Amino acid sequence: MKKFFASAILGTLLVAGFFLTFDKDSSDLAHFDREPSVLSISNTYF
Amino acid sequence: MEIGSYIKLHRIKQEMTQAELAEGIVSFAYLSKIENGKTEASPEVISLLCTRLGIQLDNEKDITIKNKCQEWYSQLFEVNDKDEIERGYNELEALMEDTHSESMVMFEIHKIRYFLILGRYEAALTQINSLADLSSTFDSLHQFYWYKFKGNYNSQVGEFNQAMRMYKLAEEKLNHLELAESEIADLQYTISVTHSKLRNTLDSIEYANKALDVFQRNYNFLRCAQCHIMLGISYRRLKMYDKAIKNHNLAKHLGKLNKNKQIIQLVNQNLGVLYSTKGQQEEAIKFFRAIIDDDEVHIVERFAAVASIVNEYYNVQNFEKAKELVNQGFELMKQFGNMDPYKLYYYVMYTYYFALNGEHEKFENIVINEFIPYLKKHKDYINLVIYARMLAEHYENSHQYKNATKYYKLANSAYEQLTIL
Repeated sequence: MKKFFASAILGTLLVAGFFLTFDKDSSDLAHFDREPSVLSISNTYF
Repeated sequence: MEIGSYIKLHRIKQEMTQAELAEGIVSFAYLSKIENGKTEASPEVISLLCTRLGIQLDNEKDITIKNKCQEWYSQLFEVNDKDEIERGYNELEALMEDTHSESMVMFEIHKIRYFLILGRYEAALTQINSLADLSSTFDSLHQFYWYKFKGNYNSQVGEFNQAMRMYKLAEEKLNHLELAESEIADLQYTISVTHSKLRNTLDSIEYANKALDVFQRNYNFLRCAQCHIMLGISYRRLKMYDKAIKNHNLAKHLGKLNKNKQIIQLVNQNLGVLYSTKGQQEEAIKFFRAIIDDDEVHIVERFAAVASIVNEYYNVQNFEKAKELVNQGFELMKQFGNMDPYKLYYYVMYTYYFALNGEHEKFENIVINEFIPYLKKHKDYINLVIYARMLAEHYENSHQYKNATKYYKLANSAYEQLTIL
């Protein structure tokens, strides 16, 4: 049981750690860029 | 060739088979050749076929129609007045109803863009499907617009890879055509926007600059503003913040000159994002607030700004403020009526609402059973990374490591998809 929890925690930390190496870039993803419409006149304004 | 396509179009509209139309006039095999431009029939045969279809051949009227079409086509790119565009459409429909016009096929192709501008995506798709059979008879000019507007449809429904394929096909047609440079620039702008959606930042810059060059020479300030916004977004992603700010400010200046609120608020949204990236939260919030507080701004733009601020406050753990903005978001949501086109924001609001109020089960339920499947379906890898990660952190904090690992992995694979794109 202890081994199982240890593996689970280690697994999570490894994956999270791997993910966090991209943190600098992935934080850039937590944003809402809004491009203008390809229709040049946006249909949301009708 | 045009008359053949015209006959085919009218026959299909009237749900007539080739045999029914051809009977007593020509064989249906010959009719097929006429329709597909493989032969030129005699004026007598054409006249008999048109009579059966109830259409006239009137050259004088045709010139009028041609001029009105050209006017209407440019409205589809520049004019913001929905009524004017609809009036033009109805007038042309009536004119073309019973008179053969050389402009018929091009008009039918432009209807795709017309429906998209009005937000009638299903009608646009129906129009695309109805023209599919005819497309093999299109000349290069027809094909240019056919690919371009099909691309526009893909863009509007979020299928950016397919959109890019269409725009590239349209771009190839430019080698066989002599189009006005503003027409070429519009396609280049469109490709820039699509590259941006696909996170091809350098390509987005390249195409934005090409388009900007033309729009500057033509003093088309509005289109210049749009290109500057594209450059602002791209430079931000490259962390070239000074260049990004300069471009956004230029866009804003041009928006003010044109008194165009849409441009101004789009710039505010993107400047908010920029300052958020730089870690200047207060500046970021100022820009988002400017959008929310402007009643004249369309509700979707205000909602996007609310979602941005909630995200800001949540990330710096200012949960009181985050809750306040979530409530504001819900107030805005009441005005939507049908949430379907804005499902993303609906999920964002409720995800934060449940997370902020400690309603763990509801939080897990909405993210796992609704939000993540929605994001997967729409291939929205950016938000998949963000919200899978949010879920994973939630599980990690409650010591549910197996689930945490699962959703960190999902976030990771979504991130990989982004880098592949």
